[in-house]
Amino acid sequence: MKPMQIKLNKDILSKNNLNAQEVRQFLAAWRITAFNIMASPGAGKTSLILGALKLIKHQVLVIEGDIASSIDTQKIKENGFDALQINTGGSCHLTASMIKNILSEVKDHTYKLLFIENVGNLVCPAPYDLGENYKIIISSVPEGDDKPYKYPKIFSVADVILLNKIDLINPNDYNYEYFEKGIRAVNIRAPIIRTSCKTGEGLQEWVNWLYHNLN
Amino acid sequence: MHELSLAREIIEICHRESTGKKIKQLNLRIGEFSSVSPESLLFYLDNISQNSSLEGAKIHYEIIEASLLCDKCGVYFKTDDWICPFCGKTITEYGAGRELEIESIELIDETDAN
Repeated sequence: MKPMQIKLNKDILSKNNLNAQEVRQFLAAWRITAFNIMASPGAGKTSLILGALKLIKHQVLVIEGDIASSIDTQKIKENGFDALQINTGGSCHLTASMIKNILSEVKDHTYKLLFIENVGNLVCPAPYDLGENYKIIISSVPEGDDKPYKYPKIFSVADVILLNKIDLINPNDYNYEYFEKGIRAVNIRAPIIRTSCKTGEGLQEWVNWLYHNLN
Repeated sequence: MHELSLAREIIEICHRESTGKKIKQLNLRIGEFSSVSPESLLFYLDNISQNSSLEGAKIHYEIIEASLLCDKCGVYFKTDDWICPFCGKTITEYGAGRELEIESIELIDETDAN
């Protein structure tokens, strides 16, 4: 039996990419700028979103992605902001079809920003385009200064990097130059903003970055 | 763990493209920066491909090194300083290394079976 070769050169994520393209088209038509926020569990994604929401003068919608629970959505709503929850069941990342489905329920298109908080994970969300305009990666001081070396892919796709919990920085335990060098080895263009939800440091700078990138 | 959903996508694409015919070999291209563990992907493919055209297929993968592409010179290169060694331009995006592709499939040609 002679094998017959079929050349495909097909992206394994092509189905997801098509859904992402559709999401991007909806959002562009509604003039909403979307930010995909990725970090490990406990880096401070929800706290940073809340910190920004209190400073942003526009209407914002938040989509919370978690394996289980609606704790984060409740937190956002309790503070008077709009939020929707996606529970992935067991899946370790959001996909574009999840975003497409939940956006079909949104009837109010007056939002100017959309924050998508991805499932806490520094690996799996990286290759999935959700139809966002920008990718935000958060690293936090207690995670250590070596994260860009251990998880280079996620830092390589970032449009901006927030180094959170900066109030906990101790030069004996955390070498900022080493962290920055690790980022610059895989990503030369993303600005690094140091933030703290405790002291409020860097929050306005992050919001300025968001404003600067609105459609 | 996202390799499980990637394995499902691969099986679906292979089944469609081979029109259900038995696949002898699957050739993948996996970028160094694709966030995919080939071992994990192979494990899932082996475990969930029963009753699909991929069942029993040999799986070959090529790792694509991350490199920068100068849009001015059209050359791929590796460097630590993000500067094109040919024209000195600063490059900000990778040109290769994020691939996650099915390069080709090899079918058993049934018409030639005898």
